[in-house]
Amino acid sequence: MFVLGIESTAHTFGVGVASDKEPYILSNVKDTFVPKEGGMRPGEVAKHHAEVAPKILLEALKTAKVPMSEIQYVAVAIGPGLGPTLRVGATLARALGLKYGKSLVGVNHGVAHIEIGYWSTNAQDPLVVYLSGGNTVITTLVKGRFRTFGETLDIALGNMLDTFVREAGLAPPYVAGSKHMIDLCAEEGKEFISLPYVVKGQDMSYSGMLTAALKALQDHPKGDVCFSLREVAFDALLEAVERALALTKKKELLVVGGVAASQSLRSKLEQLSTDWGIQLKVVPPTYAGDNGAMIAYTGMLMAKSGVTLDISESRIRPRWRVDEVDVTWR
Amino acid sequence: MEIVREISRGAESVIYECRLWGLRCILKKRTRKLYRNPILDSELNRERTKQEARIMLSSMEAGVNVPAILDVDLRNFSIYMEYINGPTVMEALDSKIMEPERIGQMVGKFAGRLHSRGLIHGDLNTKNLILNGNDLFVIDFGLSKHSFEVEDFGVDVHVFLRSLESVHPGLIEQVMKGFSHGYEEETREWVVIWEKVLEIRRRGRYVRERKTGGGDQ
Repeated sequence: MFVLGIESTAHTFGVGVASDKEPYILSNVKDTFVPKEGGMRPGEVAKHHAEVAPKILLEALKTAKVPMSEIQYVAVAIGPGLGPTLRVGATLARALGLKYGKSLVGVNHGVAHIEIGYWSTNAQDPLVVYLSGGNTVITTLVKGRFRTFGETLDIALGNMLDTFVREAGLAPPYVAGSKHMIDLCAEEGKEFISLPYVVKGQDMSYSGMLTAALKALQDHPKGDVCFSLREVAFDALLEAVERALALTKKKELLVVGGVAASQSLRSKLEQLSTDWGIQLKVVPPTYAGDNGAMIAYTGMLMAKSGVTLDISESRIRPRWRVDEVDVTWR
Repeated sequence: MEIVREISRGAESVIYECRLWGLRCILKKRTRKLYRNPILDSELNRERTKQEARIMLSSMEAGVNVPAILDVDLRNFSIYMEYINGPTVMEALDSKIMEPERIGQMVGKFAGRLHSRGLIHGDLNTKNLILNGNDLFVIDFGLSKHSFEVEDFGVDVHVFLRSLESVHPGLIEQVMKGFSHGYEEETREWVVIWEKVLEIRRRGRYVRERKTGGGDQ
């Protein structure tokens, strides 16, 4: 079985092809929108996606060496994400479905991050930490759903770091080489500045920290603020993770999503895993950020368990939570 | 001081049984987190140890039975306290050594007393309540805080109720009947709090209504 997957929830437009047999992922092509200044304007990003879509689609099919006629299902991320960009992917999926007579599979973007994490790290029964620009969620599979143990009460960790480096005049670009600007800037930090540290039960809150850090820029060197902000933000997350570990007694920790690529976070997680005697599994960089392969792969799992989507029902779901998805395939 | 044995290891502290001045005692020691920035780590552990000891003291002054604090060692993030003998409320409800309604009434009374003074326990489950003879003791103030928000009062009650649901679903009605009487006696606010508890529960373990990030990277 071959499944085509389309990702367009935020700044990345990606298409991948998955198969239900080794090697599972046959192609993974993407193009990420980088703003010349400021942050992402949804309309502008959607325009970018619409422009690159045909090229990315053809390249994904070509790399996979699978013609459209052999594709059985078209999987598409219908949420959560930005309305205008989600519509680009959904429109393409519907058009392909109608033209070639393929069934659609509506994939939850967050669940796809988690599934590609399971697959790429061979995780069995992990506590999952899903970190990206828009999500900061601690979750684990209980009775057919990825239940939320903890999450951000306001803005996501990735979003907070992005906003900070932008406001501090360090971005765009947000990432240089494979390092986030917050890490590059933190390398120059020497002194630790106290910033609001908020953990409520298993939940975190990042908006107060952001405001305080921006204010601290007025009378502290940039490096010190970057360093302190990163420490406080990651430490709050790790404390919430520890509480979830104590509660769930899981022996594996799986980290997925774009922020999983951060080296500084990884070294903290390694320390935590040693302390708890658990296995740390971090999704490899290829599948950390948004990509079409994870949508194709998850779509394949869903299609095999009979979950498909009628075109008339294929409305986008910008606020579709991970814990609202019935995981019938596990 | 002598450590007798390790009792349990939680997310942020280790509980030991100890002996101090010939007394059987409990040592709660917050642990250093090696992943954490060392300055932040010391700051958090010191502040939380201090906060916990203070709220225990305020609770005692409010007439709520808590283990007597024997010593606080801020440098080692340690609280030494009296060892309370007896079954937890969870065990007591199992073994039926006391009427469920009577147990509920004592818990409700203490919850009301704490709340009327702006003290929130933060983790009021049936394992954190000990029956010592006919006296009820409240332990583990690790997540406690000061607040006069109805939301926080409601969450305390909700946590207690949820701990009943998961282990003693058949006893909920009796226990909560006693709880409401005890709470009302102390606060005269039961109706308001219960309304809040129901509202919190309608959020369904905060599932549907909680905010979610829209975008994603």
